[in-house]
This record gives sequence, structure tokens and C-alpha cells, in this order.
Amino acid sequence: MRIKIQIAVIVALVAFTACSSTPETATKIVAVNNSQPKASIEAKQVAAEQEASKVTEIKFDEGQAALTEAARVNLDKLMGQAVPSDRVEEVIVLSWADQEYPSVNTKKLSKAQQQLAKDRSKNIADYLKKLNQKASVKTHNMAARPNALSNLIKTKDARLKKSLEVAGIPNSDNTNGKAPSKAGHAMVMVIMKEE
Amino acid sequence: MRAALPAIAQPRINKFLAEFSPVYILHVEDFDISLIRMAYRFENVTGKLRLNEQEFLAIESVDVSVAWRELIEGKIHTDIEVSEMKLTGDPTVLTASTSKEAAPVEDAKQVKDNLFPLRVTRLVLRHSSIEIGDVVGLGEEKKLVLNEVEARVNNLTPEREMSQTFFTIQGAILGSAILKVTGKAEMNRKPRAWDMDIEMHDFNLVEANPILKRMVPFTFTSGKMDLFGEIKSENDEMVGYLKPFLHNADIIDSREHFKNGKQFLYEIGGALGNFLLQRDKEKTTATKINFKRKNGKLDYSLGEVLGSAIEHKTAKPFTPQIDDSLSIE
Repeated sequence: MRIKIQIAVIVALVAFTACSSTPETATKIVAVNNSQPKASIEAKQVAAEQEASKVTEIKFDEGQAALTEAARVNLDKLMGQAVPSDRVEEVIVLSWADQEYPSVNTKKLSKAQQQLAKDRSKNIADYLKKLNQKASVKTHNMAARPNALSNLIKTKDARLKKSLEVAGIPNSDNTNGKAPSKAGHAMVMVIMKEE
Repeated sequence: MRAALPAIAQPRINKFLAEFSPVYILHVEDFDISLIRMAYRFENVTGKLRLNEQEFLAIESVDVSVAWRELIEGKIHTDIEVSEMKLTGDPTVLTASTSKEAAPVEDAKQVKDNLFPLRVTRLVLRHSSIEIGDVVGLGEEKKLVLNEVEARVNNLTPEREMSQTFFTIQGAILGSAILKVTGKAEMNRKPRAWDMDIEMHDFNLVEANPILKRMVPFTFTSGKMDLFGEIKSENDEMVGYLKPFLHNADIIDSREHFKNGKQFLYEIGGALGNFLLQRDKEKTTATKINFKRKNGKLDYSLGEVLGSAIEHKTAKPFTPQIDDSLSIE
């Protein structure tokens, strides 16, 4: 009976591990534990499209535009990886308000929400400038969709926002649950210059 | 001239494509040039095995154009857009492509050098599909099908000063589950280095039964699976992890006719294991499988996998997203 139970437990594991292997020799990968979000696959997808080799996400307290200590640590780490510092070509910052990116129907969030996202971008840009004075920081407000002209001439803002939509970020009409909420978040990507 | 060029070039292209590989034969139905756009286009491209003329590749169009944004900087580079590609793989195709005569990397390089001679800065794949069957002659419902595939590779043929190639792939598995893959590679480094992030959402286990039945000895009667993972390959060593999440999964069906006692035991065991390890509130069973592959040997710890499943059940549940912990230097 005991053997049967052991087999049953192993089979249960096999149900979601699919095969077996030599025990105790695998590399243990330790995740960094802090209160900030990890860079999501949507952030990485857009970073890959922008050829940005470094990307992170940070989270703001609700209603606040000030960087938390943990957010600063994330930004320090990001810029610390972007070496040598004079090879940083551009830093792209996308900041959300406390609500999801507006849907096609919503177009833009309230003025207060747009200002919140703008202030968050500014605070991130100011902090990045302290870390790397020469870095060119470009900010994008995720509380408003690009206007018709931006869409027509496919500005960088329009292309970035379209890429995020294709990657599946939630919007104000559809918090689909398949991609984590981006409300209150910011994505920061670093593009390095060619050598 | 614009009208004459394709007529001269197409037979030469097809002669090359028919002879370049001992394993494959490619054919282009139509070839066109747009001088204004500085572009050329192949239409209805097919690929067959030389062995038995089995078709494994069909592409509606391949558009090759000058990358105007690079031209502004004085560089003549190209963008390639592949539309409606259908790639079909089965053991015959796999055996042929891994045979002694096959040299897929060299073959691909030959095709690239001859048909796309300039540096490729962007490759885009649109509205495409990939079908994989592990047995010859399987019906479509028993194949692993990835459709609505949209992919993009930036800096496909890197130069020394810009060494990293970036890629993203997105598609639907079995028509419903969303698969997202993204990563980067150092193509010029020896050995090549790359990293990759994977997420899959809403993989319907019941719909996948015809495929899963050949891999695991039981059938799912309900449930979906999400999968999160990262893999990195550097210095000939691959490390990574996979985090599968089963949602509301059930294995035993009261109407199920078991083939034999062994299958019954497996199904009971699977159901019991899932029951014991399912997190009550969220109805999820999850674990984390850390692995390492070196010199062709795959290593992971079954004990650690079990420990992770118990941790998810009894302690803090795993976060359903990638850990963002692996990246090439």
C-alpha cells in the first residue's frame, strides 16, 4: 500500500513536471525578493522591439508620484548594469497613472490621472539624470492614447503604445487577467549605443 | 527593365533553391521587383523534402526592402517581412533535417547570402502557423498547433559594434492559449549565448488530451495551465526554470474506461497528488522546476520540485509571472 501511495504522489508530480531526472544536482536559481515588481514579459517584449538590453518596472504608491526607496533601488540597479555609462544612448520611461491604459473608447484618463503619470515620469527622469547626467531620457504618458496624427505618422510614442497593446497589457475596458495590471507602474528601458 | 528583371532572375533563383541542399528543395512561384520602394518580393514559396517530396513549408510572400531608417545614417540594410508562413514538422522532417547530409545552419546561410545579400536589420513574421506532430500522418487535432504567430527579430545579422539580436514571438496554441516568448542572443559570440523568457496562458488541458495522452498516462477532465519560464545559455551551459500552474485541474472521469490497471493507478495517483498539492483558495497546483543542461545531460531535482509544490500549497503562493532572474551578460 505504501508503495502505491508513493507511486501516486510521484505520478502527480509527473503530471505537471512531465519527466524525471538525477536529483540534487540542479542549479538553484534564487529570485531577488523585494517589494517592487519584476520586469514583466510585456515589458521585455517591448524592450526587445526597441533593442533595449536593460529593462525594469517600478511601482508607485497610490496617488503618489514620489519614488519609493525600493523603486530607487531598482533604478540604481538598472543604471548600474548599463555600463559603461557613456554608452547609454537613450532611456525610455513609460509611466502609468493609478488606472489602466485608456481603451479605444476611453482615449484618455482624467486630467488628474494624466498629471499623475506625467509627474511620475518627471520624477523618474530627474532621478535617472542624477545617476547619469549625460543620459537622454524620453518619457511617455500611459494615461493617454496617441492622437490621430501620431498614429498616422507612427511616432515613437504611438509605436511604443501599440507594441504594449499587442503584447497584451490590460486597458481601462479590459483587465483581462492574462497580463498583470500596469496601473501605478512605470517601465524603464535602457538603449545602449553601438560600440 | 523592371518587367524584364524578374523574368531573368526567377529561373536562376529556382535553380539555386532546387540545388542548394541535399535534403530540401525550395521553389518560388513568383518574383517581383519594386524599384521605387527599393524592394523585391517572393510569392508562394514552398519547401519540400528531397526524399519523398513531402511539403513542410509554405509561405505566401517574402518581402525584402531597404531599411529607410538605416539609409538616413548612410547604411544600406534590409528589412524582411514574411507573411502567412505555414511550417509543418513531423518525425520524417525531423529525421531529414538531422541526417548526416543535412546542414541546416549552412543551408540557411547559403539562402541568406544568395537571396538576402545585405545585412538584415529586421525580420518580421506575420499571420503564420507552426504544426508539430510527433507521429507521421497525425490528424490536425492531434498535432501541436501554434497559429496566429507574429514574430520579430531585430538585428538578425549583427555587426561587431551592435552585437545583440533581439526577438519576440507571440501566438495561440491550440487556438486558445496565448504563448509569448522574448529574448536576446549574442550571435557572434563563440559559443553563442542567448536568453529567453516564456509565458503561456490558458492552455486548455481537456482540449489538449489527444496530444497529452501520448505524453502522460492519463486524461484531464477539466482545467487549464499557465506556464512561466526563463532559460539562459552561456558558455555551453543552459540553465533555467519552468513554473507550471494548473487551475481547477481534474483527472478522473467517472465515465472513464481505463485501458488497464496501470492506467487506473496513474489516474488515481495523479488525482490524489493534485488534490494533496492544490492550494485551496485559488484552486491552483504549482511548482518550480529549476534545471541545468550541460554536455547533453539534463539535471533537475525531483525533491526540489516536490518541495516547491508543497511551498506553493502551504506557504506563500508563487507569483504567476516570470521571475526576471536570468539574463546573459
